[in-house]
Amino acid sequence: MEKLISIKEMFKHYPVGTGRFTALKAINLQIGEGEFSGIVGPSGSGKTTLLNIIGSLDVQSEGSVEVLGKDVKSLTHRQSASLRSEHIGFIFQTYNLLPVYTVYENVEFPLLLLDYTAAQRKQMVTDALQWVGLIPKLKSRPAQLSGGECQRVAIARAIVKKPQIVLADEPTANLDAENSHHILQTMVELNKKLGTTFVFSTHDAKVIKYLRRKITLIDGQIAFDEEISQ
Amino acid sequence: MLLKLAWRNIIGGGFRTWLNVFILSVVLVAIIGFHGLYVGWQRDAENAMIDWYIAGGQYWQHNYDPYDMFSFEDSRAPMVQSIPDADAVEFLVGQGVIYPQGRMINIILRGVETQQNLLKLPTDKLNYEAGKYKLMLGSRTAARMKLNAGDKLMLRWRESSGSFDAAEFEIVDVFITTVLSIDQGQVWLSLQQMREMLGIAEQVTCFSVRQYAGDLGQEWQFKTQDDLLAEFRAVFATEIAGGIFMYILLIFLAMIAVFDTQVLALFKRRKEIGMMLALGVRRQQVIAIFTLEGLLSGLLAVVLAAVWGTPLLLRFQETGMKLPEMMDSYGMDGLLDAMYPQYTIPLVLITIVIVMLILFLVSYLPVRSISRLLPVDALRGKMTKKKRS
Repeated sequence: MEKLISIKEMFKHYPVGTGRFTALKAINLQIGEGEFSGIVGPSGSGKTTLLNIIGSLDVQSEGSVEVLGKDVKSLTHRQSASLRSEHIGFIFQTYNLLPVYTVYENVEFPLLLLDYTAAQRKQMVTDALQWVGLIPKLKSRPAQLSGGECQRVAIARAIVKKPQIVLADEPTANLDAENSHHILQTMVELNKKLGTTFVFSTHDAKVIKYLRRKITLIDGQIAFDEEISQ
Repeated sequence: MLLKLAWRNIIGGGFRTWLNVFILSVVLVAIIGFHGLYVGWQRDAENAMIDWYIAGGQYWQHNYDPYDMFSFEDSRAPMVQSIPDADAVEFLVGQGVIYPQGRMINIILRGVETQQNLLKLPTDKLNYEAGKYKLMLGSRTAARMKLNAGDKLMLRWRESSGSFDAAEFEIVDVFITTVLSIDQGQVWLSLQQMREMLGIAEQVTCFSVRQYAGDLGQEWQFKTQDDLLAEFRAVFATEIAGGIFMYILLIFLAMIAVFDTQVLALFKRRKEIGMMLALGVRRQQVIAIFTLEGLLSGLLAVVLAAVWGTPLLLRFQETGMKLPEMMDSYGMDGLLDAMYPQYTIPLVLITIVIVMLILFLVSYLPVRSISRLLPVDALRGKMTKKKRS
């Protein structure tokens, strides 16, 4: 299995007063193509920080992080933006949808950054909305949707360009059990159908139940890294 | 793509967008209307000076200095015969003393050809009648000296021989004009009467012409309309300095309002910027989207201003701005009862360009600092970059 993400001896420090706080310590991790894995751990353990660094939204303080063979720290801003726009999809805990756009426009947004024709974009957005079951809502705005529907829009937006990696930060944190189950089922299907690599950050037992690999972070260090048989 | 996104943001902004656009349109209309008043004032004043006194320009006897009374006696020469009567109005300038209400006031005497239709000056009122002494004066001078049409006024003058003479004149007309230079501190007589009084024949100090009549030799110097308006324009430039200050102030206030709105909007939308960066929008693209938003709102404001502002400004141009009575003695040409604005294409275009430039700056500067953030910081709602480990 090809390694899409490779992290070696990675540290992340934050300045605190005159000293510093180390959020991630000596992280060594490899994630391969098609994995459905999760970084789990209690609040403040560094899950989101790790996910942000993998997604090149943040940079590590020490060590190396390679995503799709690229050292994320050495990327220019433009290269980093290209990596995210072409190969990585993000799902955020708070959805982060554009409030003034319709569902269709929110899902179409990542495609506008890539060279797709209008016809291609329409087809891809329709496909993505079909996967998440939101075709009837495509003209609605985020304010008119429930939390579960918003998260499904965020998933559609993350997968519409068929990225190699989807990074999902606490995707079910604001959802009830039924919506969480529905969304996770959707992601499992996408993982199987498209071969997309999913990396979650979560401490939600409902999500952990679906993972095939569980990486446990405690106090910024990987405490356990285990395969889970379904 | 960027334009499409900016347009979506603008339209999706709903009430916030339209409120912003409406305020901008008000600013545009106010600036154009306000500045149009000054342009209109200058136009009206210059037109009045041309219509009442300057015509197509003037020939001055080379010694003539309108600000030096001592030069008057030496600045007279026989009228040029080659210019048809219909194309010129002759003036003879001298000095005298009047005695209104028992007071003694030095005054400039202006003899003018009465049979003319080149200037608006009502010279026909002064038609020469032997043995009758007539004069007319402007309404400002009349008001200051408490004189009215029909009043008698003692006038003393110095003949060319050096002796003094005096006579009682009837005020045959008090004319109303916005041109101060033919009103203040002077009285108008018929040219023939003044020549008789001074004991000189065929001589004039200066004459207005319909158009340039060529070089008339060293005796006569031609003053173009621009030469004769130069002093007014210099005084006007000083007067409108306050207006320009208001213009800058209005633009500055507009800039502050837009900047404030824009910063507030960006403050609310910084997570949106973070999300854009996270999805792979490049910094320059983020800056371009938000700057285009500002410019598009400016364009919408121009359209909206054109829709509601054009009829309003045109109506204003028709009715003018009424001036209080005190403005009559404000001491500037062109001011009488109302100011009528004039809107020129350069004025409108320059105002639009300035407002668009300001919109560009106030949109560009705040978003530039947010777009420099790491996407994770922007997503967390930070506004500025801080040093990180």
